[in-house]
Amino acid sequence: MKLLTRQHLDRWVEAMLAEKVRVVGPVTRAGQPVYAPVDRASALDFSQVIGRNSIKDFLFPQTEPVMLYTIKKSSVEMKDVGGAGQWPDTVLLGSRACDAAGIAALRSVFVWQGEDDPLFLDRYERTTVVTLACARGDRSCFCTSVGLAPDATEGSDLLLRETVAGNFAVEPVTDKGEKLVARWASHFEEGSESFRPVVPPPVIETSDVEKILAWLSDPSHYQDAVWAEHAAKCLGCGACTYVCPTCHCFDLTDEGGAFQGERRKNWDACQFDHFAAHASGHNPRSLQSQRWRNRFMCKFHFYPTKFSAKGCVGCGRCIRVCYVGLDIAEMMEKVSGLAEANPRHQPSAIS
Amino acid sequence: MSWEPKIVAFVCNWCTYAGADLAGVTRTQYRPNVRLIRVPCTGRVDPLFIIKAFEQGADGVLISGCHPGDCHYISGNLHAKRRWIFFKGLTDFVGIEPERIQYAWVSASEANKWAKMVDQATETIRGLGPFTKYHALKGTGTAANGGACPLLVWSEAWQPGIPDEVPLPEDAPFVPALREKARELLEKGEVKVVIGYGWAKRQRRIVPVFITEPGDVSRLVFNPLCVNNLSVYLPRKQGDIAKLGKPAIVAKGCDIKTITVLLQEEQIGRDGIVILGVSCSGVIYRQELWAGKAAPDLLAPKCIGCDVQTPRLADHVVGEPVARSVEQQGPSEVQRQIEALDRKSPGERWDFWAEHFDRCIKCYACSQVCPLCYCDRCITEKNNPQWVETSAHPQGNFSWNLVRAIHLAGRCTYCGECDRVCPANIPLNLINRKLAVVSEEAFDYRSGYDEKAHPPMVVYHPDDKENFIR
Repeated sequence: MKLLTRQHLDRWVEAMLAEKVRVVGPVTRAGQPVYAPVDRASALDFSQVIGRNSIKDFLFPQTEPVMLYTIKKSSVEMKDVGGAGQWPDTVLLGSRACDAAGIAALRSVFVWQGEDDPLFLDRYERTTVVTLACARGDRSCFCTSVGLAPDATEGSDLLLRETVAGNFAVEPVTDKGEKLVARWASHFEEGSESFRPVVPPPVIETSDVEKILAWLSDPSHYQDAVWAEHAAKCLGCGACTYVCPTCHCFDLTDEGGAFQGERRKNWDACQFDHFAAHASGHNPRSLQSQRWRNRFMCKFHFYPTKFSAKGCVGCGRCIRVCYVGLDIAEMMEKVSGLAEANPRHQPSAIS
Repeated sequence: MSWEPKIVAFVCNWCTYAGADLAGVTRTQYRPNVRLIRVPCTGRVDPLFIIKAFEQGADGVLISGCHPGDCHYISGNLHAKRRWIFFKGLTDFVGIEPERIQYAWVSASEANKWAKMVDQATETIRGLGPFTKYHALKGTGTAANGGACPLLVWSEAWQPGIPDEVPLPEDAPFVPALREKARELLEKGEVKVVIGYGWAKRQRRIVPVFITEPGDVSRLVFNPLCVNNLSVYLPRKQGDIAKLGKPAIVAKGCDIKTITVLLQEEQIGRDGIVILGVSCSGVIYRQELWAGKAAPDLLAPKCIGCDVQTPRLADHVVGEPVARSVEQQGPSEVQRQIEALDRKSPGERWDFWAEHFDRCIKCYACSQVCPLCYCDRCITEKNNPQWVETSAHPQGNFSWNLVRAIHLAGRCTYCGECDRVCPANIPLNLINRKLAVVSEEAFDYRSGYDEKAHPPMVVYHPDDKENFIR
């Protein structure tokens, strides 16, 4: 197997930075773990459990201009911004398995049945995801309950595992990963070391994503009392969606003066009360519990049925940020229990 | 071409516009840097107009209307004056140079005053230079640079709930009485739901609970982790709760201050709720930091110098009146920080806030958690035109934070919820507290103490004092 030693890791990062590759990784800012671009290898801190922001920030930024417009006397001039060549080659170094799976989920949305989002796709093609298997989780982690693991490879191009000797064992997952290793071959060496044991987060035994999907597929459960029971306390801020690696909704808004300005693509959130409002004034999701239902269904029904992807990757960020203590894992247990009591429903093709 | 200051002037139809017209008719010469926008009355000038003017590239804003007593709508300009006193307190505090926003009274006959004022304003603003600080914020900042993350700095602990090894706090001694009262209210059908605090199912943390069955009252607890201001669930906006029927709410003295404002503003009726007041000797600001006791440095900022430990206005009070557990020793940390900021130059204050607002991710948690942000449709959601830029670039962030603050001026009861929940740790307490100080100093008004009083923004007094209107 290929090995990346500690010393070589630093040199590799410095070499990439010297070649103008953008390296994004876990760093500590103001005492907080975050993913951010680094300007030197020593800034990276692989000991943290998980960054507070999702790594999606680097493929799907919170705000970005998509077009500049100028309104002339009898015409409107529009100019594309972004697109091929604008983004630097990026290496997401030290992503977690859950975050990497989130990138796979985002790709399934933004590159869908020929309807590609060029802004996303361009960044995606220039990004290599190097995942570092977690040594430990924390009280909010539940990747093992959504079919992932601390060393899962979904969405990763390269998987690093810590070895007992303190180095990293390198496992290419995709061609992109192979290419990355080949390009910087001098930093990797052959060797064989045993992996450091990992402690995966405990599986929530009473939760089962298959059962959840089956239960959600039954339209009669759309108005179930469980939604209000669980989500009445939700206050409808968008914090959970903003830190979620798979939330992908955005809004297009024009900013500028009367004659020129820019059209921007900004994150939006299904938790906002006017997210689904119609121009007529009707709001099909007028209650917060309905909006929260949408989020849950998006994760466990829409994503798997429409995009064949994992909608929830078990990173636990939504649990960490929620200030009224809404716990998505609690709902997973609850719905699994309901499905248990009502097993006849099978997943339907309705999406 | 040399730079010329762009000044947007909002002038009232009846006085200043006529004054400017007179200046034209009498061929009075003055600087052409000013763009007039005629409004029916200065009372029509929403602070948002000023923010919008800056967003659109203005270097200065001038607002002018009838002299006090001359308003064609009797009191529009006097209401406006109150609003300006608050707004000036805010814009000064965030470091916008005071000269960039000028206020004046100019009557229909004062063509000369108008001309002189425009000349002076133009030259003052020319001296300050273009307002690039604000304009340049767009397109800068971490979030705007395509792919660079906003620097998120969450609360100190990134873990919800209390670690397994830390003992949970004990219930307050009055909890059995609280449960009994709740049971009684539910059994008698006086209320349909009791909004209170309880333990989460999976995590060791306190969450809001909604008790609808008398048998479930044992879920209710009260201890120093019960920091949430539950009155956010009372306004109509919270449809899920409203659907349950008449609520009883477990409320600390500070929460009742917010309920007081909701009553003042007629968002709830006094007969529509039952208040179960609880005596409180302080709550932990961030539950995760609980380490076995309510140490003073962990208490919420509002608990320092709290004067409502024994709740007023409640239908039922449980718990013995408590003596102040935390006597305030000199100015609180928040007051100290405000004073330190006040001593700085506008430029330094601006830099302080620009750095903090840069982190804003526009999740609107601050407004969603605020019991007094009850509008069905927030101004940020009005997009034709887009009043507040929704982008999380620093300019949009700045505008949003100014709007949020001014909408709470004279109303905020300093419950601290927005500050507590901000995922980016923006020190919103400082802004809220600052505006409370303005309210106290200018209008001798403290929000949340008297449900019969009129909030300062809805009334005026001819003798309101200010020293900045020309």
